[in-house]
Amino acid sequence: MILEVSGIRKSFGKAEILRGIDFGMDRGEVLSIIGSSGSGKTTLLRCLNFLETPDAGRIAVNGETLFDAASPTRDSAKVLRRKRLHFGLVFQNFNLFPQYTAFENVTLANLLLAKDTDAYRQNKAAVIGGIEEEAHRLLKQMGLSDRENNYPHQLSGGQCQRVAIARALALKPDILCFDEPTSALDPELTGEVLKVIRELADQRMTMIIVTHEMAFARDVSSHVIFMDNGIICEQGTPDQVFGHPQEERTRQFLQSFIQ
Amino acid sequence: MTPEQWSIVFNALNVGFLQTLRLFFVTLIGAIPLGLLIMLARRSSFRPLSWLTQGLTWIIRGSPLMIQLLILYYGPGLAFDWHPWGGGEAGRFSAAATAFIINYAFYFAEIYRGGIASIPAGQEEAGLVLGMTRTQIFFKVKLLQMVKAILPPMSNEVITLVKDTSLSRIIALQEIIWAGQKFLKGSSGISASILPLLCTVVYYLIFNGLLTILLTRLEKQLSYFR
Amino acid sequence: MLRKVEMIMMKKWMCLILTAVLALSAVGTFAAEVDADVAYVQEKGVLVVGITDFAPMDYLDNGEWIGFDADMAKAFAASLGLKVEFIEIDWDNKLLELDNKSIDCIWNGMTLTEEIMGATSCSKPYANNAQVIVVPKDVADQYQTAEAAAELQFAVEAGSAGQSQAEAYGFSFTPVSAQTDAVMEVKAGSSDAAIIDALMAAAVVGEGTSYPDLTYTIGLNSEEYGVAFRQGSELAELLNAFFVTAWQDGTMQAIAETYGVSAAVIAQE
Repeated sequence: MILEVSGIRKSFGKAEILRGIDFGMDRGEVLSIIGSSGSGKTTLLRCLNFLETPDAGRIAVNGETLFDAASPTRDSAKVLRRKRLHFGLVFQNFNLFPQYTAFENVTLANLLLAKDTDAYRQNKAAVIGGIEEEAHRLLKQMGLSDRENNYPHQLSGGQCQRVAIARALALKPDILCFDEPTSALDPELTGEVLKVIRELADQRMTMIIVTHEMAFARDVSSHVIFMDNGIICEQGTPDQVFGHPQEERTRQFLQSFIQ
Repeated sequence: MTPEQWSIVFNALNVGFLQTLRLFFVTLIGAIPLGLLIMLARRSSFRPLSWLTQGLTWIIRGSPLMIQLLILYYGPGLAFDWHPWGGGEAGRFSAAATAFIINYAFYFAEIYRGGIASIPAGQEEAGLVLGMTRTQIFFKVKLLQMVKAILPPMSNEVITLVKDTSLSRIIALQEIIWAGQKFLKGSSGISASILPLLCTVVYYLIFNGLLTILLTRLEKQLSYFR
Repeated sequence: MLRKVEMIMMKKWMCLILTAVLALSAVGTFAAEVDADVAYVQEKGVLVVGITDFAPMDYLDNGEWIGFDADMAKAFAASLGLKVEFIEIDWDNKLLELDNKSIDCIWNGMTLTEEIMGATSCSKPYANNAQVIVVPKDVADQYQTAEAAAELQFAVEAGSAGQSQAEAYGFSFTPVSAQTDAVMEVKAGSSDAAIIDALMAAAVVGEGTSYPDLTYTIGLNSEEYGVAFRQGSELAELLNAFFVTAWQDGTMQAIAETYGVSAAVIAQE
């Protein structure tokens, strides 16, 4: 299994947001997480990306334990950085860096990471060339070749989100996470972003997608988790969860989308 | 006034304006980094330090700079028979510069604080998930956005500072207003002439004009992003 | 005009604050330091003289302070083996400057008033002065007595001996920030008359000055100039001794001659 998550708990003050989350996924799987606002979906994603520290539980990637609340280690910044890079995260609000062009947004982190490597010290030009070539390729894949030198404020929301996806992919994460990637977009712009995600699924990219786009989730996922009130209420294949929900809460939630 | 008298007047104004400029630049050089320290203290998670900074901010921003100058220069000598400044022009300059640096640093700190608050938390988080260190995030991502955000209020403060330097005449620092006012009181055979004092306005206008051009250019340079 | 009054009010308020600071500090700091002040100045090696730009007593000539007072101060400092440094001060703050030790003496054609003599250790008087009334030349004839002048609106320097006289005579007056400002008020017509030092009036009004159409009439009092040191300082005694020496060897008369104040200088014996 590429990812194993067990017993994740997280509270903010008195509010318990995650109350014991267990799941696993295999390489090439696409996992959709659905559920109402406040059910803990986003917090779970943030825990996986080390933006929040779980109060309890364990996270392992490729069999390597990255986090275990039972045996806390104070990771050095360097170790934490390496662990983070197993995951990529695409935000609801893109969070592109406004002072950099689309192209620079994609290359920035890689250039900074490369500076610590021996390869960079030995052949700077080759390393930089490789990073830039990869950025051109990714932006082309996102259909943004003609937008490379635009600043974020000169791009539409859909274009921004595609730059953000390219930026996350540039670091070659094992698992790419999406936090409601189309929620901040005008309806007519969601299609272009969903199309890109679907293409990534076709290329067997391992992905976790938190989304409210039910039709899309049903279509693109290999596995679906329905979260409610901090726990996994129901999970299974898209057919099981969307077609034959076993839990009353799941039925209620899906019902609210049909109306 | 005769040409000879004008030459006396402009010599005096030039010397005074040099003092004004010295106070202006020394204040900026001191207050810009000190403001950063004060801002960090204000944001410190060590509560007493944060409270102390808030209290000082209230006192420094809430009381007239003129009184701060008087207390700083005359206070130690009168209250404790302690004379850190000395009576000469250099001592008066040091006292004035100290008061100005402290006063402006507290204003700058509040501007910096606003600048940092204006950067969405998402910028830091995006940097973190891309494997950047906090130092890299500060220098490569946040700093320029912060500079852009604080530039308009900082420009205001800087222009105000040019004019505020004239307050230092309360501790007899001989800046340009003092130099001009001398001829109103009577000096070098020129008395009751308001023209030298009016001329000081031209110095201020020219210098502030240059500053405005510089600051506007800087703002323009940062207008390529939003 | 209102702003100037405000400034004065503000300074008074500031004095109150500083007095409060003073009161809070240890009583010990008030202990008389009889010889300590001489030692303090000698250790510095510099006598810091507080002045204003006040011809013919202290004024700038090619960047150097000269005048009857300035030249006497240089000679006095030299007699003690000290360097001399002239510092232009805000006249309103002269006592503050002295107590703060940012200056060591006030030597600037200063009238020996009760207030000054109470707050400082003063030298013996070295020159005569009076407070005189400055009026436009064309009406000077009408104001040759204090009774006649009582109907005028005066301008005086705030905190000056002129203001004391205006108060003593019950004149109605406006305080301004300098004696020359008071004269300018008369010239501008915003006040009818000013009360200033006779020595100064001789220098700044009448034929051949900036104010040829002004003149001065009656003296309201007679008063004397002296030099003020910190309370209890023996420098005052040293200066008195120096005055006697300088009078006996003729230095003082020579300097007075240079600056045209011979008539006013008081013999030192």
